[in-house]
Amino acid sequence: MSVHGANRLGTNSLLDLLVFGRAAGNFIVEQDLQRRQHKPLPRDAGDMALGRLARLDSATSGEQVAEVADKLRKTIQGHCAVFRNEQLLSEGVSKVLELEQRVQRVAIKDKSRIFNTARVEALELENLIEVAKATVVSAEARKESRGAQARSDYPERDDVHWLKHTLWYREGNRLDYKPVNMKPLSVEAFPPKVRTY
Amino acid sequence: MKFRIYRYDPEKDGAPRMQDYDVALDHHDRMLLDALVRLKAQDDTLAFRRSCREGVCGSDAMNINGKNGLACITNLRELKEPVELRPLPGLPVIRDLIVDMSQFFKQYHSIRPYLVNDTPPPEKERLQFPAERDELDGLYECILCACCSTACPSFWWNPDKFVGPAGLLAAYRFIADSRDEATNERLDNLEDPYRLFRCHTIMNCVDVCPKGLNPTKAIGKIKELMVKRAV
Repeated sequence: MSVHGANRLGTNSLLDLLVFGRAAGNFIVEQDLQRRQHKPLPRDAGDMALGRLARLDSATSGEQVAEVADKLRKTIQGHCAVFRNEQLLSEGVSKVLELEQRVQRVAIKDKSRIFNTARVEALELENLIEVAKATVVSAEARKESRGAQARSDYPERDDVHWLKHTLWYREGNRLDYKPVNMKPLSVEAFPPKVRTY
Repeated sequence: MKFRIYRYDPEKDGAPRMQDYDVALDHHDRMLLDALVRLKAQDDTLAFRRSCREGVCGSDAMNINGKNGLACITNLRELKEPVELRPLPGLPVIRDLIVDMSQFFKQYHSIRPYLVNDTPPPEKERLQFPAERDELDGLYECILCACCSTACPSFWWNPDKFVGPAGLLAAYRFIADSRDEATNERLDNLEDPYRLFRCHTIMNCVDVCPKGLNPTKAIGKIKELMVKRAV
């Protein structure tokens, strides 16, 4: 599930690419996926994507993409940055949920079918709000400090309650958790311990 | 701040036109790209490419007051008003400030921009002496923004036959690499009245390179190596 533990430090995304890229490549070769037929597509496979485009094409007035995107950046920067606490995070959750309403009403003037960057930015904003919700809702729920999450109200790591992955579901803003695999297949496990410098 | 910007949407416009804009800047705005992002909020139909906003990705190359450069590392305060923005010259315009870079990349790919070495790799890596590694400085930093090739009159004239400064800089980057074994093939590939020798040391490429590189010097080195192997 993760090769980074609770942290994914800058530039370490390369580690993900190497590990999961290799695993995916090996899987494709082993399964001989090239020889297999694709599964039949459901008839409505493209409907959601087309619906998003159709809404943007037909909307004549509404919220401005640049303004809402700027507001989202400032909200996350202010409420879900390096040092966090309950008050900041719970306010952050409600502000992001309010912004979600505004994102659903964005409109663009540019309806061109040629290199329409306004449309791309609007679609990106719809994606950004999903990531923002996942981030701030998960961070608010996790009452401890671990890895990149530093909470001044819960400064300690709590392995008894929080040694687990967070799973966020879009439907109903629901959270679930999954145990951390402490038994790697081919190497010794690194036992978790306090990080001291 | 006042701008005059090249506009063209083939769906709507019969011919390109220049459009005037006035944009209120914030005191935080430093670079031309900051102003363009504000303009885009004002008029979302203005199309330009941008990504890293720090001179690393090369997406926002454009012609700024007559000179090619990257919007994200061009100081707003040094620009004369109205700031005139046009797409990179010499390439087909897709829309507004966006050009079709196929021709540029076709030339780049034609020089085989990757290490060629048929010796089985050692267990760890192919080593170099520090002095050999130093040979690559000033060559490997190219971000393929195309400012140089689209400032070059020889490339404007023969974009299909002349490799252009960006491609030739990349060619020399591999010729100069102590780990590359294809120097001879690389020189053969360029020994042609057009591919290399259309460079007439006009040096527009050096003048515009936003990374401060010198393609003309690299082209000179390639020509030197060709002479050396001939005599």
